[in-house]
Amino acid sequence: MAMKILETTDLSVDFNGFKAISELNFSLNQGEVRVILGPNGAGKTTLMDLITGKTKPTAGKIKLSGTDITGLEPYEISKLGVGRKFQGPNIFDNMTVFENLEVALQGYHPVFKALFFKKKKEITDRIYDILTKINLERKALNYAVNLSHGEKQWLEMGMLLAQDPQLIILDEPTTGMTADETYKTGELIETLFKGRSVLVIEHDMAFVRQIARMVTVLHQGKFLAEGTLEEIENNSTVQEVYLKEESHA
Amino acid sequence: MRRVATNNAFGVLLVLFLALFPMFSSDFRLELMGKFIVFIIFAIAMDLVWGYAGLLSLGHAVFFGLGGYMLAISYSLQNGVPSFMTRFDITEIPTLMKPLQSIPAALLIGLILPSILAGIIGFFIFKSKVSGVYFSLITLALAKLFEMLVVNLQMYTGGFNGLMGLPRFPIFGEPMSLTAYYYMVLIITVLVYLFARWLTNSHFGKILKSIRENESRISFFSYNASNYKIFIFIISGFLSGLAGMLYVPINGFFSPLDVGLNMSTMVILWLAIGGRGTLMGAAVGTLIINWMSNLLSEQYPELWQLFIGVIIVMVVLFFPDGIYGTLKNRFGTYFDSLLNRKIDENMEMEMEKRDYANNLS
Amino acid sequence: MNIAQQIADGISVSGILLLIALGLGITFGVMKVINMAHGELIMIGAYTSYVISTLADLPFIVAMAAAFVVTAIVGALMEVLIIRRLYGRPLETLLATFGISIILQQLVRIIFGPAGKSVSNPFNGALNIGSVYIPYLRLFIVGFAIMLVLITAYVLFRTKFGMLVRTVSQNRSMSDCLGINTPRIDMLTFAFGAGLTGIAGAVLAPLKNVAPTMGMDYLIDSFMTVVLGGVGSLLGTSLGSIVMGEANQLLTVFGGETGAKIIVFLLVIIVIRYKPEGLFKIERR
Repeated sequence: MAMKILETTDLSVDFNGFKAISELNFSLNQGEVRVILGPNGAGKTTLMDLITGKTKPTAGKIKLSGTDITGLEPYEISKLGVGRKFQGPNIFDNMTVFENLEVALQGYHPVFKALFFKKKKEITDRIYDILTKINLERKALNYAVNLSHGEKQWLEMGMLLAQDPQLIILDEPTTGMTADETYKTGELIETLFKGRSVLVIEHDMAFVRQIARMVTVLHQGKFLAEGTLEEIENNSTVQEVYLKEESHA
Repeated sequence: MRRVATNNAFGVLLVLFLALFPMFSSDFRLELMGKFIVFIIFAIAMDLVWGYAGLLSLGHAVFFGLGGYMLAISYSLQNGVPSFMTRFDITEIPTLMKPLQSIPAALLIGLILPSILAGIIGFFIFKSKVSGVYFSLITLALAKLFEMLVVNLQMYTGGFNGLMGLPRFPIFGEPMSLTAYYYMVLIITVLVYLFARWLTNSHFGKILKSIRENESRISFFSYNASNYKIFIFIISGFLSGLAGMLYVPINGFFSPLDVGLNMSTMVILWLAIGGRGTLMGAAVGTLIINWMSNLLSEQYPELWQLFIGVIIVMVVLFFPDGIYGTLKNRFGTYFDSLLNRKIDENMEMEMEKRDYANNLS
Repeated sequence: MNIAQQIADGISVSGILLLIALGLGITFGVMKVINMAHGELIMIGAYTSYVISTLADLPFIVAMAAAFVVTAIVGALMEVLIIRRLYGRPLETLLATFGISIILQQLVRIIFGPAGKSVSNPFNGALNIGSVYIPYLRLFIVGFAIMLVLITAYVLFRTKFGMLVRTVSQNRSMSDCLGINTPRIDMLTFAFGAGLTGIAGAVLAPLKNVAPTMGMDYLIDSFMTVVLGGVGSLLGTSLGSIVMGEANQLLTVFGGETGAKIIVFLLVIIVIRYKPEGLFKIERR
């Protein structure tokens, strides 16, 4: 049996009576790339918030590689090796691309370490290496605010690379990208994050097909189905939920 | 990284000017300039918190005032029980104030106490969900509170009238001449500037900036933002206390006006107009506003105040980077491109080498 | 120490606080604008009161009406010329309105001179119930404050204008899409808040020395009251002013008026720290 990097047991969160996630049992294997699907309001982003500590669960447990991380603060969870890319670029606008990557580096977070941190050649080299991978080497000294939408998305992916986490969480990484950019992003995920565990929320089915072997479907905060993309596409309950959504829309 | 050259050139010119100032200035002007240089330290302290970490404290003079009062009270205690105490039938110096009888001890206390207070306030506020505007409101209340406290404890602080007739320059026992004190202040200010520059250019400084830009994001990169905010608040409290103490001998007078809302808003003014988020902006704003205020307020006191109000509004609406920031953005790139061309060329070459290496592999 | 008298005095302080905080409850509470010139609006109201009732010798009620109109116009100008450009940037708004406060103070100083003015009391005499003594003016202030709250509540919750105000404050871009003239509503809301503040100044004028710098103390008191009660809640502001007023009065046993104020400020700071949503705000999602 493969090692589980992430495991939730009976995870629930309640926003003043509204159950955004209820009794969710979910697990992710080490090194696996998993896509989370589900109609609007299924609780996908809430699940990400719970895993990364942005939201605290009302009941249930979250384990990261066997360690209980329930109720920890985001900075504590990210210290344990969880990186997150937000929906829509969430970067530091009035800082340069280089600085954005620099602050994402893992291992210099205590105040005094940050004070006496020396930018050694290895570190500069590593940042330039990441810049090359995300095709931003010519814009290292540009302010992030001046990047195009797609470039910002890639910068955030690069920041994840700098952070070097074990578990990577991507919330709709291809929003606002052209089909071409989306495909390239898929390639980036496959090559850059190779060997890491990745959890992705995505709507773009071509993209899902490109990266995922396993898919989990949520509906109204509950587990609905899990399987390969093909199995999911042929799953009658899933079809029903999505059809209902369509007719509502 | 890019704009180091212009910044340095400007900084060297400014220090040169200030160093030569005593040679062509009257004592009266020199005293003023000395005060304004002290204010630069206070402005830098405020800039670290507001310009770099994005925390607009409306009560920063609390730290300035605490430092200043420690030294001012210490001076007042030099000739036995001062008159503001005897007036309230206090015939002996209270135990808690005894350490202040020694000037060196007062100097130390004046640095430590503001730092501790900043630490307590920082811990109290930043370890909670309070942020942005609520932080500003709390500090506003603190400024008022501290001012009332100083006035209310008049038997120990001299109350509303403040402490007057403080001896001019005996910081190290022997009286210092005005010029010597001026140079001491200038040297300390340059050191403070260099320290602040080191701090803001360090990895720590980058994290501060990223807290300002997007605080919630940085916590997903393992950084505990509240620790950073508490730390910079303590540093800022320390530097503010230092500024307050240096101010006392050159002003010869210290009053509740220097600890509360008045002083707190003044420093915000200098920074907003000079340009927050740059240390040089803090220096430029402080010097320009104070000199203009001094020269114009004698002739047109009311119009000058009105003018200040208009300037603030204009700066907020049209020049959010302040005087120095705006000039630097306009013309700095041009000067830099002259000075930094070499650096850019080096980088281009470096990048090309990388490309070449990548193609080979 | 007469407890009944203390409580009565507390009520009258509460009335004053409610009066000065009500307008801020609109501009800060509803519109989320940090208006550092709030105190100066009170000051302008007080000066209007001085001009109308002392210089022109007209009835006090005319002074109150004039104060509303004058400060509402000042507020509308502030909103249109400056605050409008800064929505969503609270710290910039704070700074700009701080500039405005200096401008207003200086303008008034240039026009009326730095010396304080006095406005004669329109309600002489006092009410005596047993040992409790309440001047009629203070009684009037409390009654008037309550009436003003009720009028404001009516405007906000029972009129078309109030509905629009609430709509815009909850979702500006959606309101735009619904065809609401949001800039106009913003201007009118701010003018309304400013006008209420101006009336407060006019009513308080007989009680205080009317001077260009009188605003600063009111500014802090108003913010503390609004934040204590819960930002964006009229009921919260009302209850907040009662708590603040009574606490201010009852705590004078510890170190007099200033001592009480210091303690109250400390308590408010602690409340903001632990309950930034205020004491009386019902949490909703």
